[in-house]
Amino acid sequence: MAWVEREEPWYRIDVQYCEVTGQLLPRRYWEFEHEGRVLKARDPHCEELFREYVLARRPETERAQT
Amino acid sequence: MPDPVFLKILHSQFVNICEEMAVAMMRTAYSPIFNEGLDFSFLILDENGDLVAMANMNPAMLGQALFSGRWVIDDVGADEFEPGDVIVHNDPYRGGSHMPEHLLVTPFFFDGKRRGFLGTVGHVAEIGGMAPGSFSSNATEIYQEGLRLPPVKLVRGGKHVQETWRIMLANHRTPEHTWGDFNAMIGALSIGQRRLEALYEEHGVEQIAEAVPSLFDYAEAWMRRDISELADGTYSAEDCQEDDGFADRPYFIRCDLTIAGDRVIVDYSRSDEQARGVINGPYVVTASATYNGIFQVIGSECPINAGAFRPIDIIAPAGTVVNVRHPGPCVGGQTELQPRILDLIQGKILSQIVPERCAAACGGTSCNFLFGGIHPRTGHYYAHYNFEGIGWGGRRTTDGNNAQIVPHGNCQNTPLEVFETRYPWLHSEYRLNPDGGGAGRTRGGLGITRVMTVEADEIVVSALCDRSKVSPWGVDGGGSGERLAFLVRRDGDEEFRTFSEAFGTISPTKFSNVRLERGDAVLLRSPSGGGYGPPWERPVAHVLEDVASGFVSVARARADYGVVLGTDGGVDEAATRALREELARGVG
Repeated sequence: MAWVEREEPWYRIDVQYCEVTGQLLPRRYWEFEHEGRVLKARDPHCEELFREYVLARRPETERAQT
Repeated sequence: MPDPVFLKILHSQFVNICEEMAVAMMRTAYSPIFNEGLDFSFLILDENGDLVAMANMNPAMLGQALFSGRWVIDDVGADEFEPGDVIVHNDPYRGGSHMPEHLLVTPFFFDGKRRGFLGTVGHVAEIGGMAPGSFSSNATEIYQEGLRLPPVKLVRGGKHVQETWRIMLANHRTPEHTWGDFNAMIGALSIGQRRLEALYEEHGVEQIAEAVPSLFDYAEAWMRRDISELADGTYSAEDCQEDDGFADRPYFIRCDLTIAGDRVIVDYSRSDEQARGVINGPYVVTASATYNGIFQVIGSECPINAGAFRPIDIIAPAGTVVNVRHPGPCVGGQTELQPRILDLIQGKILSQIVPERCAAACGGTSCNFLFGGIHPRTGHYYAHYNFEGIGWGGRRTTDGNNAQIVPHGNCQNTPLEVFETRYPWLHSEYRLNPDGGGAGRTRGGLGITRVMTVEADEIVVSALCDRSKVSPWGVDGGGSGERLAFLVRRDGDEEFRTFSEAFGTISPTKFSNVRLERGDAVLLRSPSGGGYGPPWERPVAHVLEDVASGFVSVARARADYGVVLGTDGGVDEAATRALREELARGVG
């Protein structure tokens, strides 16, 4: 897990979303790994939310799609 | 920790600056949506873009106040902001709500250093796109909804950036209003600059720099304390928007709200996929509505700044009706999705924990009515975005308000005198709807009926409304409010018909660019609020007042409330007692 600086040319206007909350990803986002998959999040709090809430609450099938 | 008295004073001073900017905007803007409707907000952000204070104008813009400034600063880069710059932005995919609402951000410098930002969010009534008024109910892509601006400079170093202005003015149908309204926003921000400068001179940079984080902490502690008083658990509910203008099917918003100690997690993951039509909202719309629903019940007196929102997490997966992905359209999210989420949070979810602080459903639609054309008197193009009063839901101890704009908007209607002076319509009716309010121990507020006739050779109209099929619900045994009707009577016809019947629109309440002619009449009946509690528990005296005021008919007083009136208008007490007992037993 680490902060990642998104380096994109100015003419790219598409956006990316936090894979935990759905928020817009800022230029500097937080990346973490879960079961071999890399997830992009807004900040470390989103990872905490993922581990404490998302994993605990959602059924396994739904988690797999997260 | 700074002196608490100083913190309170400073908070009020920040809010006052925002309010003064708002008054300046109201007085100087060109369009009725600002002068009369007050569809705007003003805010102060710290150097990171976090919300320090905002004027208590339009709560629907809370999400933008919290997220958009921060995202714009991130997008542009804080160092790109020079003194005298103003950046404009309305992109829903970069932190905006819907495209008519433009965020303007200007940096605040003091002693040669950037200390924060001032901002405003204003709903500009016409920004181009496929329909006058820029509410294109038949849009299927964002490109059809008007001119989309990523964060770009509108003013650089105090001078208008002509390139940006010329693009905007060339793409909006009413460029004179664009010019006047945007300059009103810029002027109001400059007043805020001067007031903030005076505040820094009064207190000094260091004292303010130390106080702002304490204000955040204070609001956060307040909210955590109030949340802690609620019972832990997960509470779930759903509600829907009845169609998207294309498919005759409801789109559901499903919410699981978890209270865990001093924090709240609001999870919309089970909501429907994004719609083809314009009823989707981006993340900030869902966030605004969620915060509004929560703040109506918890921490309603808490100072509104970035700290107040720290205990609340919102999960709204991209690609759903609560977080639209590009290029999905979303102009209706701010006006139709917001009231649905707000009521869902307060009236269906938090009412499971603290019913005494909640309300039944409001009319739940902004009744968006847009029109434009060439004015027969002036020869100029005009366009107007009109929202309408609805009934609000009954609360534990009081009836719902009559004829108020949706609770998340805090806006005002446009008076008939202004309406008819500016636009070629003539009203024959504008009144409350008797018997509209959901029956209850406290009654739902009444919606209105407006009938108006075209006074020009041609007017192009569009509408985006909801609650014509699914009634505003009651709470705890209260009855439903009356549904919306949006009808048209062609010149020479004797009956009002739906727009689908008269013009073949797919949806009777979500359509664009219908051409009306002189003598055609439009009837809008806005929905009323749901009732709270069993109607037969409503004090007889209150029912009598309702009958005397024309809010409830004699027949409905009997059928819904079990109050039997004699021919002299007096209460038949024995018959009333018997009927109320029957209603309570469910046999009435």
